[in-house]
Amino acid sequence: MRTRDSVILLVGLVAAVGLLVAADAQLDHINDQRETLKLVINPVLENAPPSLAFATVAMGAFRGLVVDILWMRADKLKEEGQFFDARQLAEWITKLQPRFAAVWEFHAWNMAYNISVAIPATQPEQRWRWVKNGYELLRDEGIPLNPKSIQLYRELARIFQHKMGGVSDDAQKYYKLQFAEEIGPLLESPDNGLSRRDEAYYEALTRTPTEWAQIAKDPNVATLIQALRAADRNFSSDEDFVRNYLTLRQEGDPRPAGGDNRASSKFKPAAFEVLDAYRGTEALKRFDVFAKAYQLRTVWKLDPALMQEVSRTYGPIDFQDPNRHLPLDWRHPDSHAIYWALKGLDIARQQQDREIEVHEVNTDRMVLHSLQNLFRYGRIMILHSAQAPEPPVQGPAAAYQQSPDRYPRLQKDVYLGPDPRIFHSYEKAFREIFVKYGQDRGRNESFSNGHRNMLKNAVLVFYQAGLRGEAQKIYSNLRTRYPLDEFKVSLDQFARNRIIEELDGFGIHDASEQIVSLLINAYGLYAMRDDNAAAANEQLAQQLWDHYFTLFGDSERIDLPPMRVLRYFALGQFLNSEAYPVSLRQALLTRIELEKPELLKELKQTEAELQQQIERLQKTQ
Amino acid sequence: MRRIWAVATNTIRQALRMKVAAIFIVLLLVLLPVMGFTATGDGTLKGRLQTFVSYGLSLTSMLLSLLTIIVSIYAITSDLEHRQIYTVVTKPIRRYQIVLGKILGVVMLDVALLVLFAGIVYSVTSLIPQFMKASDQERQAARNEFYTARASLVPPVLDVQKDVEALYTRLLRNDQLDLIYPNMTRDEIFKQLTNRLRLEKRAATVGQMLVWEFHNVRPLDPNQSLFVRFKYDVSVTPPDEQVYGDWHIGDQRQFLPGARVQHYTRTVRQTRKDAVRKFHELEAPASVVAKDGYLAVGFFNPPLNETVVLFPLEDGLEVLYKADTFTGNFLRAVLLILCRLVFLACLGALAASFLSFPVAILFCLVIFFTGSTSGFIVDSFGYMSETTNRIYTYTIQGIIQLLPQFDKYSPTTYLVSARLMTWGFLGKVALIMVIVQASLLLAFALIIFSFRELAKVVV
Repeated sequence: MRTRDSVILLVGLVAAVGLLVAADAQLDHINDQRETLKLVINPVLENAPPSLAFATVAMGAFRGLVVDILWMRADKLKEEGQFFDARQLAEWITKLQPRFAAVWEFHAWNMAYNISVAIPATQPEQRWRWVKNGYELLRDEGIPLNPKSIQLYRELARIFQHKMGGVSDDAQKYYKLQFAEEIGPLLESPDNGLSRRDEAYYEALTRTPTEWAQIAKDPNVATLIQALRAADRNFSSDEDFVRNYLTLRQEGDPRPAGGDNRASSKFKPAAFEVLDAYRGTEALKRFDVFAKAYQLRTVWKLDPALMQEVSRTYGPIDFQDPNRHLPLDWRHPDSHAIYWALKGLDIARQQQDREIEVHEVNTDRMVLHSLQNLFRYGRIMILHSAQAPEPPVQGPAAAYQQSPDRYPRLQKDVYLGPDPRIFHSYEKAFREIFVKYGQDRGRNESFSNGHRNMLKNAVLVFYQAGLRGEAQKIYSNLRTRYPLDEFKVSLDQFARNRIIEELDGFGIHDASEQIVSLLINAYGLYAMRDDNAAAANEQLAQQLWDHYFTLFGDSERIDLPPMRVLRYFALGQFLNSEAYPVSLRQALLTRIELEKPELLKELKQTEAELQQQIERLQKTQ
Repeated sequence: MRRIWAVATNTIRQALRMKVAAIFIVLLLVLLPVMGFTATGDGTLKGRLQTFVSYGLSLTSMLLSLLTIIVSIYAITSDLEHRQIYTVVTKPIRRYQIVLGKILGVVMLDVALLVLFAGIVYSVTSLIPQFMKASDQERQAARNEFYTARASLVPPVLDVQKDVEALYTRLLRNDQLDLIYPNMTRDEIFKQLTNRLRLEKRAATVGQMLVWEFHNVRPLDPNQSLFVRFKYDVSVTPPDEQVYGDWHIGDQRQFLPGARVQHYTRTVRQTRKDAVRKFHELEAPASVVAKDGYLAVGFFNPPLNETVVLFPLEDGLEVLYKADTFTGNFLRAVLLILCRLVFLACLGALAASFLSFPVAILFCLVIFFTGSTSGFIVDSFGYMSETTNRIYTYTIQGIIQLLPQFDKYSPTTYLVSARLMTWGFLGKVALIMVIVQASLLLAFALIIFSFRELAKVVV
């Protein structure tokens, strides 16, 4: 190479390096300007995991091509109805396009909605897996990488509210049960005598140290940690300590149906002995709260302080002290929907002079709908019962059966009931939203329509529950805010009109079915000790009977059995219904025997009369 | 033949000395087993197997395809570039024998590598269930829906020609054609009417039953299961996007009045609720097929639904039953890959016969990648504006049709969904890709190479 060429080469290299260094020096300033001038929504990707950094940078210009190929594959498999690769493809695509919020939103929705319903409802555990995949993708990866994207918060809230909290999916009860079972242990600390209903528990969660290093320094707790480490190698790692501790507690603590899981546990007996030795000590009490707060933060991505704030704002009220809000039931998916929606709204609020977009409006709606859901189905009851073992199947179908059980199986069922205490939180949320949308007539009207319907339902619910005072307050509010003709009647007349509206179109046979159905509901609620709601259902059944007894006249009265006969039929159906666990049915009988002897007497009399009628009929044939 | 063989063995030695070949081979040897144990799919055993086979075979196919292109081009262009060709052509060997020898060498190398890596994929696929904790249900699902080769039967296309003509005449007589089908030609209207009438025959109103009859159903093992794969569409989407279906599967002839039944064939009835516009499979024992190969599948739209239920014409319903083993299907899949490699070897030889190494590589890669995505590209025309669609359809689509359609003949599609790839299908692909297309390319390569000026510098 000639000297001239070498010099040119050298100058070129030096210039290249110099320009590169100069460009790098400008980078921070450029990124700051991008944020100041609001050119991007999300901050620069810093401290990203190595795989993500590699994927987004190393591929250079080929990243777009690879993304295209992955999308093509995902689309092709979706058209063919193949979902085995959906999760992996979603992971790769989102790794290559981490800042494209729509990508996260699409894949989470695809998994939670499309793929889950492609699996038959007879495999709820498979469906649950995909619903979980969907919300975990958003919660654990999408939102941390796009913390300012409100649409991701909204989508996450929607999966909780609509998919898991709603009733349209056949497996929705399974989702609710699994969700409640998974988070339930983190919402109470029996060592501290605190349950999920205690505000003090959430206070304790916010006050406990947030980092492992901090709790490990506590001399009290340090002895417990060391004892567990010495007892079992599973506790040797700091990273897995909390998770293993929580598993140890679940397996070592007594179960609701009795016994524990120690025999089949992966932990050594010495670990359980440490647990037993430390029961009641300050060390265990402190560490227990820390572990649960830590798990809520790191795995569930929930901030206990924000949980507390959300409960204080939107939790059910205490009827004894209406200014006091009780903690939300965080086992319910709608509570999580409210949490994530509020988090998204918080992000949006940081931009003071923003124009409100449709994502924000829909997120506000999400809060209202979740509160409505909690009003309608906010009480979760998990019932345990023992089911007889499945007999071994004979013949060729035996190949399809899992190993037959020898022992009764513990079965869990979840039941949902209304929670009227949520109403005031709903009302408060509505008022805030109404003020927020101020001059926007279109949006205000849309919110108001929903509010009006909610008030109408709430009046009826409180009226039927015997809370007449509350019903009157809500009705007065309804009349003031929406001065329509239908509200220009008294409360009693309004309630009657509403009931008749719902019953309109029913024939005499439908009426008998409806009455029996209401009575069966009443029995179920009575067995679950929800006496107010039971009374409301029974009252409605009576009103219905009265309505049709008057309406159909003499010619058809003969087809409408007396109320006591319908009560007897309803009881018989309830006791034979497999929709209710055996324990619940037994609980009802016990309560009737002990607390309602007059009802028991009436039922026995009815039974005797019916038996006589049957005998008379048989003799005449 | 001895001369061709000599060139072939020399080509193999040359290829194995290439660094790129060594890299590809090592990459596959490492990646395939690792993939086998790290692929998770959807977490189930079947999902894991599907993911591994899909990615394992795809990776093998892609890397071997790239290797074939590179080696076949390099084998010829390196001799030209380094002037080694002069020492060869001066020997008593014809030019066409040199090219044939090169291609034969590349193909033999492909066969050896394909056997090696396909063997690894097959072995790992067989071993995965032993290393994975799976429930009995998962293992059964894997046996029925993965480790098998299921033949597919679709309802025959109905001949509605006479009905279409009658309907067309009636609409024309009542002056309704322009109202219902404005600005359409007669052929277009006929096509619409044909689709409409065919779809009507696959629609069940509430309370109506549809019956499909299949003949020559020959399950390999009557103790196994057969599957009815279906997809609903509806006229009015229910709020929960699911509909009820009452399915009857078996030999309905035995229930007809006056039927004489020598051997009663079992029938199966299933009532279920499924999401619309999604694929579902319902399982029935293969013993529901009558001895003469007759099978009827009936769908009843129960009153619980408040909508018409339709089965789309293309993929609304099919019956899948085991007709061969997974091993047989896997072997055919590997042979399908081999057909692709033979084509690419001939393509490489053609490119190398008149282009330099880098240009030839670029040329072959463009054809390879276009061929691998041609189906998607053509489908995407439908999403563009009408004008753009028309332009692309009359220009690019024609060119794409000439190219190999690798995505249409993808072996992994069959293995992943456990569908039977018949010898007939393989024969058809071999005929198109090898005997017609590859031979044509080879012929051109031989002609060009035979007449090209070897001493001329090609840039």
